[in-house]
Amino acid sequence: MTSPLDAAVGVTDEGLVNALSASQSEPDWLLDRRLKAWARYESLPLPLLTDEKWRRTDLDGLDPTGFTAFGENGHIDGSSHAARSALATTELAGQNLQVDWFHQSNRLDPALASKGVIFCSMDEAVREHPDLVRQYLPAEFPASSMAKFDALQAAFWRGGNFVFVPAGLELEMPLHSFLWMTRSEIGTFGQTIVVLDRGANVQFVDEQASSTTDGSGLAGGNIDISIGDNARLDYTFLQDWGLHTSAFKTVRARLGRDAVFNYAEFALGGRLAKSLVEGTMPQPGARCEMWGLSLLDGHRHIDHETHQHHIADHTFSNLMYKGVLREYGRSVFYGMITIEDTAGQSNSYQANDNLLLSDEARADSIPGMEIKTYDVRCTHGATIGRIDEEEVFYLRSRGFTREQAEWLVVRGYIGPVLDRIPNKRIRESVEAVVLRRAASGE
Amino acid sequence: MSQDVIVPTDTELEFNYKKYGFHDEEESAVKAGKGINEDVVRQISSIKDEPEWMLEMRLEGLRCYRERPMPEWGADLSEVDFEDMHYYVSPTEEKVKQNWDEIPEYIKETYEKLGIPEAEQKFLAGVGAQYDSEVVYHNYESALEEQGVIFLSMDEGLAQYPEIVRKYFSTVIPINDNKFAALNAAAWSGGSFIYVPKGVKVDMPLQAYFRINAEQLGQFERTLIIADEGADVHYIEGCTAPVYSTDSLHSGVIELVALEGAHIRYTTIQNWAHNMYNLVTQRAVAHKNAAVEWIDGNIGSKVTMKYPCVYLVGEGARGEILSVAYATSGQHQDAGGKIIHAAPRTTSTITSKSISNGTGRASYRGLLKVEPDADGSKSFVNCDALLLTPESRTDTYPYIEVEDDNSQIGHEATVSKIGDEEIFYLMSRGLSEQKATSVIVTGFFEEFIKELPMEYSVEMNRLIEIEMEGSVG
Repeated sequence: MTSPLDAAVGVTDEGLVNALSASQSEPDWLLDRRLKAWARYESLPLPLLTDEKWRRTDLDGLDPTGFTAFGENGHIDGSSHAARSALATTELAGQNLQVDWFHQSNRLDPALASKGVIFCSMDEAVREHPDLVRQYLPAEFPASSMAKFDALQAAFWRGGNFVFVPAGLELEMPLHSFLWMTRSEIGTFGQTIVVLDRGANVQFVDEQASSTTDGSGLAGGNIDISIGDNARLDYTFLQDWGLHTSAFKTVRARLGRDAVFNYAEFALGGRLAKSLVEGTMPQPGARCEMWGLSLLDGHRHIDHETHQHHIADHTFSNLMYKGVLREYGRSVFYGMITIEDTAGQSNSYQANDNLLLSDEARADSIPGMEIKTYDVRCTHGATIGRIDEEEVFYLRSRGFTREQAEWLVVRGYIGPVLDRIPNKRIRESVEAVVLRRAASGE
Repeated sequence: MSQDVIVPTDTELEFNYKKYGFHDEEESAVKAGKGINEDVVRQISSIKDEPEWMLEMRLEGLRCYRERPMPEWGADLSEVDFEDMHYYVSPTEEKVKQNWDEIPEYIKETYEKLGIPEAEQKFLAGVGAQYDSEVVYHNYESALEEQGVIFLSMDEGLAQYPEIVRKYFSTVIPINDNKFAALNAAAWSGGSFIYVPKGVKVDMPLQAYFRINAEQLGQFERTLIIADEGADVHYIEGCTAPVYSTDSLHSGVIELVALEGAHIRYTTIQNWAHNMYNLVTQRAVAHKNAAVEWIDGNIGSKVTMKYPCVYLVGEGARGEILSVAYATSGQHQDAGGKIIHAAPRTTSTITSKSISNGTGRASYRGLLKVEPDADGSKSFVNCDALLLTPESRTDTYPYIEVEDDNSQIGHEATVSKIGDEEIFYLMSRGLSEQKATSVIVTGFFEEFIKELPMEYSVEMNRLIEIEMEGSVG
């Protein structure tokens, strides 16, 4: 049987949206949502350098619709690709594996499944839990600097993850999603939904990677997170794309009362990455931790936009993004703290630090704040500089070579972000990848 | 001199804002029609009997003003009606007076209320007082004249020293830099022209008062200060304005050139009436080992958009920006600073302090840029914001761009309300809540106030006291 999808090059028209939806026998409401998203994509212009939030990130002629996002599944052996994961040998409560645009397998500890935990691809969730998906898949597309990409992803997503943890359930072991891209000239569009009911607790590791191929690739994703009252989500995002991949993602977390969102992001690869991470706190007592580490060597360009949005009183947020820049690396950080006039007694912190290790590297940092009430405490900071010579001098006086000393300083610099991963085994596994990648820049 | 916090007495508390809020009957001799077009620009230029190149610059300014879009990123400017303003008003047809006795009586009265003659006797090296669009009074001590220091209105400067003016005019702030700088280039009138020759150090600050006294008058002062090699000068600009019901506009362009080893300090105390749109472009170029300091206090106006800037283009140059802002109900102070490190071993600091009261909004907007060859540069930006009421608002928009690896850059900002414990402590020592608040606010602005000459410090403390009236309880 042939489908227009098999021959499609790029994601260029409404017919493909219909074909994709039909190939998965999706319900009408989902098709409507995809069509609405596609119409929105077509109505929005591609971001230009004259747009404030894109002034420092040049798409340089990139056509996000020009990548093949459909094709045959025949040649793929999922298990061989799974070995490439940073967590290949780590004990897990469940794992989703996706290669290119196809979801390969998912496994979940049966004991957890019997307690009501859901962990599967979005495709499967649409079939098995359509009401839950419909409830948590945002019906509206909010305006943002990423609106164009959000819309494209919402029109063409396939695969991705659906995580649901019922009330009061605390998972000891993490859930892991691994997306591996094998080929060039292809695009993946993902949708991930993470829902924690009241008092639930889980760590989710979202890993996306590819090996460097000759051609360019595109990876796009929308991640929508809902954390119930008193629940806690530890979200670890690990990205190690090949050299020529462009990546766009939007993470939106909405926190319930006294909920905790602990987000740590490791951006290690790719050519061009732009992401928006937003923590919204509409209920009192919510706590948002947002941490990031970017390794920028070669001509890598990573643009992080963040938003700590305090709506309710007694909310707390803390953000720290760090960059290590080498060669022609380019880092952009565009952070915003918003404290609404209803968010009295809130605390908010925001910091962006960049370590510049070459003359050609460049770091732009724009840590913004908009504070609309008075009984709050907000601090932000940014530092940009090279390795502290005094630290190097001290280490050399203890017998290290200059190279060793500088490496120790870099390790010390990135350590605090790794420390945000609560699970020791995950931390060690991620650390191994991060340090290997950080060292290869030497 | 002690810089302790000055707690005003009850008598001082009676100091009335109306002192600065009066206005005289208009006696303007030449008043251009409303709006701006090529005819108005030609008229201004011909009244001033300007050289052809200046007229060309004005027309270029008008072109750029029409082409450039209104800025959408800053304060709300939607209520400014540029067509409903006069672009040139001269209070008197007579040329600038050197002798106080010859100044028209009603203008003298105005200045006496502001205390200029006393201030001059006590302390000033020279006075350039701008009344409406024309500098009407100018005097500086003969000592300065002997040193070769030029302190004139911009119009006189153009007439008497066209070569110097032509060499530097619009070189620091290009005509098409932004919409308001372009408008200023088209319509400028008045402002100061200062040239300090090599090695001359002007001991006392040069000072100008600016006033606006005609309804709907856009005042487009243009100031150019050149400190030649090793020279040192401090210029103070203070503003007050009568209160009118129609929105008014002040759009100045200030250019500073600090040649090798020179030092320029430019102090502003801006206290326009609360119907004023204050949209000012201030920029300095600091050459090798030169230093430029902007000391910028924004207390008045309805909307201020002002970001003093220093280009550090010579090795070892230093830039310093100290910006304080006070925004109460109906006010938006969108202030900040910009530093561009374009040469090795340059240093800079930006210190911003703001207070928001009532429904007021204070924003810090800044740029810190380190160019690739600015090896070994250092910069630190520090912003503190104090919020006094639940409805007040503050924003911070710092832009930091670093293209050099051998530089140390830091930025810090904090936002907080006045500590209950601080208020409690002061009240336990017998101060009313209002006075306690004033004392804390004065202390918060201390860094700014201590940089001012004594009489300005006193005035500043009084202004804070006046602004705090009725803000508590």
